[in-house]
Parts: sequence; C-alpha cells; structure tokens
Amino acid sequence: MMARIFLVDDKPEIIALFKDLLGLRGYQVIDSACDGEEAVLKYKKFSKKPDLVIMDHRMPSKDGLEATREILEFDPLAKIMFVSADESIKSKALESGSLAFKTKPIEMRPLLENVEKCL
Amino acid sequence: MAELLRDRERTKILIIISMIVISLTLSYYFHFFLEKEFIYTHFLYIPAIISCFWWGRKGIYIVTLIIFLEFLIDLYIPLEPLSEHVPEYVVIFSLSILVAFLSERRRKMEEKLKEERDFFETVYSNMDEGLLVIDKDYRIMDANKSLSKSIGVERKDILGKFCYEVTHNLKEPCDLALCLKKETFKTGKPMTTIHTHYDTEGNEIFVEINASPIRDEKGNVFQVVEIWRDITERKKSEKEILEAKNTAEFLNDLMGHDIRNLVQVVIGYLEILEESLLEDQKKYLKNALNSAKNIGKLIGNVKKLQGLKLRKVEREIVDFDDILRDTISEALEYPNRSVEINYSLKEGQKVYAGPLLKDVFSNLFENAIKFDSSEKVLIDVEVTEEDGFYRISIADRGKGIPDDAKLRIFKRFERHDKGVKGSGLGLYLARRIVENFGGKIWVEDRVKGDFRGGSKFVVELEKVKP
Repeated sequence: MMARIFLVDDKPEIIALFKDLLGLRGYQVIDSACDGEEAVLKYKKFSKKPDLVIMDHRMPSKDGLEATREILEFDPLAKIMFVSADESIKSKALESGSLAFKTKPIEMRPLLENVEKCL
Repeated sequence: MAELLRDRERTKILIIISMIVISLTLSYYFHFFLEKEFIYTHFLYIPAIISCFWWGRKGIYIVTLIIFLEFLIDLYIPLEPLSEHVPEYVVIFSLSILVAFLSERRRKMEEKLKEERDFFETVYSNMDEGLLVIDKDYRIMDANKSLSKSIGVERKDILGKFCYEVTHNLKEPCDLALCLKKETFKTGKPMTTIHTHYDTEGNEIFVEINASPIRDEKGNVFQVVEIWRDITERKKSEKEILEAKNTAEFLNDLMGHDIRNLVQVVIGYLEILEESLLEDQKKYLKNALNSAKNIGKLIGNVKKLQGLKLRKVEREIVDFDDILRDTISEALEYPNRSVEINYSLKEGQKVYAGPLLKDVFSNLFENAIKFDSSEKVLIDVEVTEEDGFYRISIADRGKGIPDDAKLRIFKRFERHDKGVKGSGLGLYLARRIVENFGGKIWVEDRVKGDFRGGSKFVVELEKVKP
C-alpha cells in the first residue's frame, strides 16, 4: 500500500521538490503545511493519520521541534523525520521523539532510504 | 638663561664687594672719627653671612678674606690685645659654616623639588590622557594640553570656567545620574565612569573618566582631579566590530539556511532529471550535480568552522570505534568506486572528543578514495595506544604527499592535488575539530621515506582513563 506522507516546510520550493521526488517513487503526499502551527492543526484534523511526517525546523510562528512535541503529545505513534538545514538541533530533534534527522541538502538516495527506514 | 645667571652672579659679587668696602669705610669712620673700635666687626658679619647664604661652602673663602681683613685692622690698630679678638673670628667663622651648610641643604631641596616639578610638568603636559582639576563649585582650576585638545578649546579659555559649561555645553550643573565630581566630593573615594561629552561642533566624544580626591591638610576634599581617556575611537571600533559580527551572522544564517534550501532544490531536480536522460547526456548533468553537492558540503564546512570559531567545542566521552565503524560503512558505499578497507577494531575504546569526530574520519576516508585513481581503493585503518592517547591511522595507496606539503595541507585553502575537486577546507576543518578536542592530526608516508607509496593520516586523541 502506498505510504502517505505529510510535508512540513516553510519553503514552497522544498515542498514542491519533495512532492515530486516522493511522488516519482510511489509515495503519496497527502498534504503540506508551511509552519509548525499549521502542521499541528492539520495533523489533528486528519481523519486518517499520515504514515510519516517530514519536518523542517526553522519556520515562522512555531518551529519544527515544538510542532514535533505537540504532534507526538497528541499522537504518540506519529512517525516524524526531520529534514532541516539547521544541524545544531540534531540531538534535540532526536530527543524530542523524531525517528531520524537528515541535513539539507540531502541527496535523493539517502532521503528515500531514510523514509523507508522510518516507515 | 645662562646669561641671566651670569649677570645675577656678577651682581651678587659686586654687592658683597660693596658691602665689604662699606663695612671697612664704616669701621674706619667709627674708629678714627668716632673713636669706637667695636662697631666695624659687626658690619663685616653681614657680607660674611650673605656670602655663605648665597654660595654655601664657597662663601667660606669670602668669610676667610673678611676675617683676614679684620685681623689686619686689629694688627695695625692694636687698641686691644689681638688675643681678645680671636673669639670674634671663631664666632663669625662658625656662624658662616652653619649658614653655608643650611643654605646648601636648602638649595639641594629646592633642586630636588624643581626636578620633581619638572618631571610632573613634563608628564602632565605630554600625557595622552586629559587632566582636569576642579574645585567644589565645579570651576576648572587647571587642565593640561591633551584635555584642551580633546574638546577643541584653548587651555586659557577653559581655566576658571565651569566644567559643565565646557564639557556638556550646559549653563547649569549636569543632571547626570552619576556625576563623578559630585560623588567624589561626597564620598572622598576615587571613581571611574564613561561619559558622553561634546566638542565645540557638537560631536560626541566618549570619555572614560577617573576622578580622584585632592585633600587639604585636615583631610577634607577641596578639589577633584579627573583623568580623561578619549575612548571615542575604541567605541567606534567596538560598534564597527559589532556591526561586522551582525553582518557575518546574517550572512552565515543566510548561507546556512536559505542557500542550503536552494541547493537542496537544485540537487533534487537534477537527480530527477538524471533519471530521464540518456547515458551520454548524463555526464554533463553529473558535473552540475557534483558542483551543487560541493556547494552543499562547502556551506556545511563553513558553518562548522564558524561554530568552532565562536565557541570551544565541549569535549565529551565518545566510543570512537563506533564512529569509525559508521564512517567505514559509508566509505565502503562510496558511489562509483570499489573500496576495500582493512581494519580491526576493539569495542569500548573511549576518548575525549565529540560528534564532529565523524566529520574528521569522513574527510580522511573521502580524501583517501578521491586521491587514489586505482581501480580498487585499498585503505588500512589501525589503532594504537601511546602515553594515554589513542592514535587512529588511515593509510591509503594514493599519490602521496611530499614532505614540503605535509604541514601546508592542514592550512586553510591549501590542497596538495589541484586536479581534484574540493574547497581546500576539509583538512583545515579536520585539524580545527581535532585541536578543539585537545588532540593532534598529522600526515606521514605510508611507506617510510617514500611518499609515492601513499599517505598515512594520524589522529591522536586523549584516552579516557578507566
């Protein structure tokens, strides 16, 4: 069954790229959010939860770490993978309960390998 | 000055000669006309004492001359036996010696005082710091050249004016939260602060002021001396440094976040495009893709270097064998190259390092692969212990590094093989990371004495004592 992915990133071009990349590999991007707050709101409203959330960190209104905590608080089974340009939060991201942390720019192969690992 | 002194000396000699002549004339007059013998000796005391007062010990010669003259008179006009005059000679001579001694002592003290005054005046006039003496009414009693220069007003135009008028362009005493003079008068203790003053054109001058009390004999503070240090340039530099730091942080942030995101988009789409191209078209795309990946790596390295510059990395205890194993696995997967790595690692080998240690190993493996054009890249990894340190060596069979380049390659933007792509930051970053952990990194020949046999990079890290 096609894995359902929810993208969270404030850069529309990154959302577009990941949609294309993942779409080509058979994943279904069910929705996207441009900041942490929108991500939490949308996640709570999903009737069928996504299989994986790909989360950025530095975003307006609410950052990725905070959004991750809130999503995991709401749904402890949520699977979240960080893809961020901010390497300094790697350990915090892993401590917050995310399954993986990859630094942007990331090549297609390691990105997809990590998506598979997280699912 | 010397001429004036000579004139003054000549006048003194003339005065003494005149006094002696007058004394002798008066003696003659008193003796022969008034027939009083005792008076003349008292007149002669005056030039004798004055000579010793003026010339100190040298005045004794004149005293001797005067006593000799007195003796001659006593000899040729023998109204009394000569022996009765001896006590007079002794008294005048003793008195003259005493005056000469006191006079010389006073002169020495005056000279010392003058030396001290000259020294103080030289320092006072030539010091870079401004100096200001203020009385209890805030009136300026004295100021040196540096101070008048710093506020652009002649010294003579400052003296007697109020300090608030001169330094703050005010008609009344400043309403400052901390007026040093006021506080120093009140507490009697030295104080230091930074004030903003204004020159005659209204430009801001930042002044670090140290105020100290001057006390009278009873210990009451009656004046305050202020030493001003013009720190306007220092303040400007600090401001410029802060602006430069903010700009650097902004650029670092821009590069670290925004540009990385853009590079991500470029890499992603080039990789998608690569899949749909024919094999001979792919090589052009690969060049673009590699450059985009190198931009990403370069930004990553610059960010790490920036981080190392901003703060010393906190050392932590790490199992380097775990990190090394991870890095070896990645190196074995190096795209489009066949790599064989010989290693034997124990478990639980702990050193003082940090997460960035992986970057060091990754860089060394990447170099070992990049700089070896053989069909199969062979790398040997060895761990040895020495004097409380672990030495981890990574030896390749690449082109090797000649002796003159062995130190240079760890410097910024230095690369031994210009034909191989890279920013020249990798080994520099590796050195900075290792040194931050308190360790060392260097390169040797894999085969001693023959650099063409390949290189052996050694990372030395402090062992954690069990």
